[in-house]
Amino acid sequence: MAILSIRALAKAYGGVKALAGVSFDVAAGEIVALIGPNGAGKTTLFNVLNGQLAADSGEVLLEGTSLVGCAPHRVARLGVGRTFQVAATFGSMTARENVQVALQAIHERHYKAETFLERVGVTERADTPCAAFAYGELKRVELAMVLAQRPRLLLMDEPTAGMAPEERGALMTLAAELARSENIAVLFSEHDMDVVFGFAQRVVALHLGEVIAEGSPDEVRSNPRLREVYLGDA
Amino acid sequence: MTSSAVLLQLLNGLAGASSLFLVAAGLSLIFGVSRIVNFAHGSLYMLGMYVAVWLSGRVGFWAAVPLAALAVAVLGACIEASLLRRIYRAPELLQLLATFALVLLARDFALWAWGPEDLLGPRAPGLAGAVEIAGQAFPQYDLLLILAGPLVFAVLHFVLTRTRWGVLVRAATQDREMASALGVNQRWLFTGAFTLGAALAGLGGALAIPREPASLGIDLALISDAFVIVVVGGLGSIPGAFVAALLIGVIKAFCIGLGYSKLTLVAEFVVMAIVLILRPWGLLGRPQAEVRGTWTEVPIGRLSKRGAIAIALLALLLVVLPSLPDQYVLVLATDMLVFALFAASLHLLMGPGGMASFGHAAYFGLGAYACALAALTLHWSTAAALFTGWGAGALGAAIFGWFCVRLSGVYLAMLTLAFAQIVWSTVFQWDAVTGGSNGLVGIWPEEWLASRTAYYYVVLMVCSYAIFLLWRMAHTPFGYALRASRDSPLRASALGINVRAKQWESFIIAGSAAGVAGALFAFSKGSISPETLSVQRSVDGLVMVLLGGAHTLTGPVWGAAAFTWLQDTMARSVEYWRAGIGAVILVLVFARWRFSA
Repeated sequence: MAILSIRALAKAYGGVKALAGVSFDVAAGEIVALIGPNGAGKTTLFNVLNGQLAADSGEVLLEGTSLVGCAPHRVARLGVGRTFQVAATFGSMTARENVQVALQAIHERHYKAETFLERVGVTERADTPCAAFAYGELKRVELAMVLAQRPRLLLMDEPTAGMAPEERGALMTLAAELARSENIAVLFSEHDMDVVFGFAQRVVALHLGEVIAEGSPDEVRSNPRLREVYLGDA
Repeated sequence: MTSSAVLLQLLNGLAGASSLFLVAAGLSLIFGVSRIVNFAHGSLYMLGMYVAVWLSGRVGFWAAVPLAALAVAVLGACIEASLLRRIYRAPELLQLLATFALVLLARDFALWAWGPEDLLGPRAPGLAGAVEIAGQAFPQYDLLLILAGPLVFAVLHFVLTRTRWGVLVRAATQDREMASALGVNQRWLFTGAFTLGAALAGLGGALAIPREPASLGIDLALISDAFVIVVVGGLGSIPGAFVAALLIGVIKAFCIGLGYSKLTLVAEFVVMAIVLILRPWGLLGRPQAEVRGTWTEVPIGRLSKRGAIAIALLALLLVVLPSLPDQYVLVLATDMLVFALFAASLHLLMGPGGMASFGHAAYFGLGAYACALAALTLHWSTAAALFTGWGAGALGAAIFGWFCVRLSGVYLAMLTLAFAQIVWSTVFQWDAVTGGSNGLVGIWPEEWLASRTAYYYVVLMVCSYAIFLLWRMAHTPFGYALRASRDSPLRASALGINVRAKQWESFIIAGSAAGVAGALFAFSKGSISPETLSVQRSVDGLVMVLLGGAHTLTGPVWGAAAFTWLQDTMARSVEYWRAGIGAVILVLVFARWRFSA
């Protein structure tokens, strides 16, 4: 069953249509990649999904509950986790405290922060302030924070941007394993095609705010429209 | 009201709007380029007035006006080149404090040079009469003022849109880093903008002397008016400042003309509130561009063993203090405790909350006045009066905080200051209830607390318990959520934290603690005056927090104790103690910035 259903979502900035009627679903345990050139509307879509931006029209459903008009903190409490293109953590707090804040925010008392730091592999540096972390580590801490809330839907905006190539695979493997074991629906946007074709079960391609291709990685790879957009050959 | 009276009030409003615009435009210009909110802008206006009055006795009014503007411009250039240039990369709070130190220095300089009495300016030769407009007399000089505003606006607009320098100023206003990356020499740009802004303030002051006398208090009265205009018009927008100055000027004139001069403050407040709800960045402003490379907060540590021992020793000392022979120590210690609570409550907003409140004295004063009124007019018991002070601080913070948390950074700081100024003016004007400028006297606690020692113990217990609660809060889930909201509002809200709600709660908690401090203060002094909630008091709080260090929990309390002692000693032994404190603030700001940079 679909965890996330997007129906005819539209958003314009002045005259520019960032989203022009986008519709697709993401099922539980499914990992979907959102691809498209710069300006295709990927980040706009993420910002609409987590409530930072209001859509002009259309519907977003999380297991049947409408997210339209919900503030970001409401969306988060309904079970949507999000990581940002530039990893956002609380710099004045240690890695452990960062995860504790995530747990407290949803009044979760059962789990310990260590559990999640262990999963992303930053146990040794648990008591170091995040301001002192390398970028790759920050991405992991951010992931631990989001996972600690056990979301039903995980949104990752360019999860590997700014990371070294060898780190990318490791982070995505981690995210994919966790998503499968917890049966989380994952939607991530990505420019690195190795990451996309290595980890996505399904790919949605956006161009100028519209879905131009959707399907398995192989189907999308051979889609003529997409080749045209990306490679300029017809 | 007849139509001719309406016309006359409109003209009156436009005349007042001109000087407001001159000050606000300069403030906006300087902010746009350097991102510094120049607290001393009202002081430059004040100096413009004094210099113009002084010069017009020598060279005549019409020569004195441009000369005064020039003198203030030169002073502005010196200030920029010698002081401000060093702190452009410092946190906003340090910049604001540095410019406030200039306010204190300018105030004492004017006091030294021209004395404490108001100085009456001359009438403008040739324009001393009145013209008849719609059957009523209207001063000729005010007509000139009405023209001066749009004229200066037109000149500024021309300079900013048609000259190379103006284009560079606008480029820097849009994106400072980008402008410097393109090879714009920031040094000259910043000095130029500050000099021009200072000249406008000086001109505004000089032009105002035929209408009102030069006085020492005009600096802060004017800067808070200018802040309201800049917040309403949009920070960094000259047309916004113009529109807002007209709006506020005309509304003020109508309130006075209708015989409700006390309504002017309410009207200003309502206009500002409506604008901020509908357009948080002001009428013609735009959201602030993100400043790259801001400074990050360091973790708040838990109390170390040595710190705990120091506090235990201090507690012991405070308990045995009344047995000392010198009773003055008790008076000073009571003040220190009250201001320690005040500073600790402000620190909750500034430190964990990341919101610089420049009007924290409002809650202190509301607490003090509510407590005093409960005791004097309602004859409530001391305990009930203290609780009333608590409630008043909390209520005030709930109302003002609701608006403030919608903004951030300097906008928020200016709004808190504007709110505090509105409370101050209300207290100052409402003779029937608050006793106006005389304040309230005879606020004494009940019989059993009448002795200095007994009351000291009450203050000691209440303040130390409240400070303990505030300290503990930093490590509660609420404190974590608040710090998370400060570090990254985006991340915090995506984790389910209602950022605004947490910030609002912190306002209410801080306001209620400040209210308690104010209530205790009222009973300890026996009398209160509008000075209890003046801008000066708000800034005292900031200095206390800065002195002790905003990054630690205990720092503000030590800072409050040290500052209270310093102020007490200076005020008793040095004539120009304000300038002394200003110098101390400047030294501190530079030391702190150098130390952290």
